[in-house]
Amino acid sequence: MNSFIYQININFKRIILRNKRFFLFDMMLPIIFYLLYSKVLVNGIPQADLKTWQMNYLISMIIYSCLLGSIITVANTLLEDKTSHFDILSRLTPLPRWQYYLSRILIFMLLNLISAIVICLVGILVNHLTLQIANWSLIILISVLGTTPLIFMGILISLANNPATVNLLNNIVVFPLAIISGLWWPITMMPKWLQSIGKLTPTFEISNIDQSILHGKIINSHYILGIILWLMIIVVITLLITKYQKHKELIIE
Amino acid sequence: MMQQNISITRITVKEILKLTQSYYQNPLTYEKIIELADLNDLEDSKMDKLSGGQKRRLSFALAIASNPDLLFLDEPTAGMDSQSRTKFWQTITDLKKQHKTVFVTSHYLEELETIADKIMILQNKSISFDGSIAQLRALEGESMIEFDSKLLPDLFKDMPEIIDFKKVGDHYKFTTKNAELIIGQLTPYLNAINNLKVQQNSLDSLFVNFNKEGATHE
Repeated sequence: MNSFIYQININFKRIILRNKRFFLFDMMLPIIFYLLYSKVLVNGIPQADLKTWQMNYLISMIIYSCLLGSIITVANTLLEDKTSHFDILSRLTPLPRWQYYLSRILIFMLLNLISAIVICLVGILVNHLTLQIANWSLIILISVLGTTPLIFMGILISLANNPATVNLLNNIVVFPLAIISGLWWPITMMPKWLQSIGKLTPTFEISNIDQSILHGKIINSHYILGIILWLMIIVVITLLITKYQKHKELIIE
Repeated sequence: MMQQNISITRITVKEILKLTQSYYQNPLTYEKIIELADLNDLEDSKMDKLSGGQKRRLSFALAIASNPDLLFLDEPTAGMDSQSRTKFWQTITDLKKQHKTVFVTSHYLEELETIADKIMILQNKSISFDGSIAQLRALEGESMIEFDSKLLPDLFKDMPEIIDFKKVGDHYKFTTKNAELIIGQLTPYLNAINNLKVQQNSLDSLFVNFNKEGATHE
């Protein structure tokens, strides 16, 4: 157990604490977006609706930040572990593979947790948003847990094993996903057909669950089911591809 | 120990060693690893800032962290400076004394000459030689004897066991399979001989010869 804690500790230092890219990218981008759309460019919004908009947009940005962290940081970190031979080093030890991935997944969730908390703090400090501590915690917790399918998506992308492909896939997945699931602009601004696709995305599902908590509505169980389904689908694809890659390696040898 | 260096970003030498220790049940102590791999001054250096030779030493440290009885080293000294190399082979000798089996793949044959109990030559996917260095020498064993002398070549020309006889100016050069015998016969003339040099075939030349033969046999 001690050694597992040590592994987590080192991964924390390596992936979060000493990783400037994380601070710049995963947190700054959503924060800048948030300040821009909830503080600076708010001329046309009536005062009464402003608070709701500021709160709703905060949730979008929490999820957007988790999306960036889960896919871009996860895929790049895991890819880096492969190109630096860290992956093969740990493969040559008795360390079980699940433990290798678990110690990383926990760190990635922690990374999302930190971004989510920081963005909430920005909302509280800049826009004076008020919510009960319990509600804040619940929203943060749901966002972090709900984005686990995205972490596996990042793992899946890292299996491409090639920096150029990984970057391309990151961009293909992250930005369109953010747009069609209504994280950047409200989903109602999109054409109908795009909305119906957007509503199937895991990011839309989590943001919808968060909104329900925020406005005291009943959580739509379809969305919970949807996230679990996404998680299962992506995990299965990841396992299949890993198996296939192993198989191919053996044939080449 | 892999042929490629491991170079993880944002992690220090100390951390990666402790991390690797944490993967094993009964690892070597941290101090012992540092001492064996000669990493004393580098504990707090970032892993990706190490030089090529230092990275090799770190890879070695990672390989011995588990205190293995069987150790595979793939090109362990590539990129090391000569001092580190000497130290490194000294460490391997010590490990051998502790009855550890060490399996080295290397292109630096002169290093293996002093350390290896057994040599295997891998050629075209199959092992074409498997034995001690002495056996390899006996197989290919030629030595070279060189000296300067004003004596007439007739004195030496008809000595037995000389395979190749060359004389350039006053410089003689013999190739033989039995250097001891030739030296015995040279003894009476030692007063008139300068710069005597006997050179056993190095592993390098044995290897070159062996490869040549291997090629012609096929």
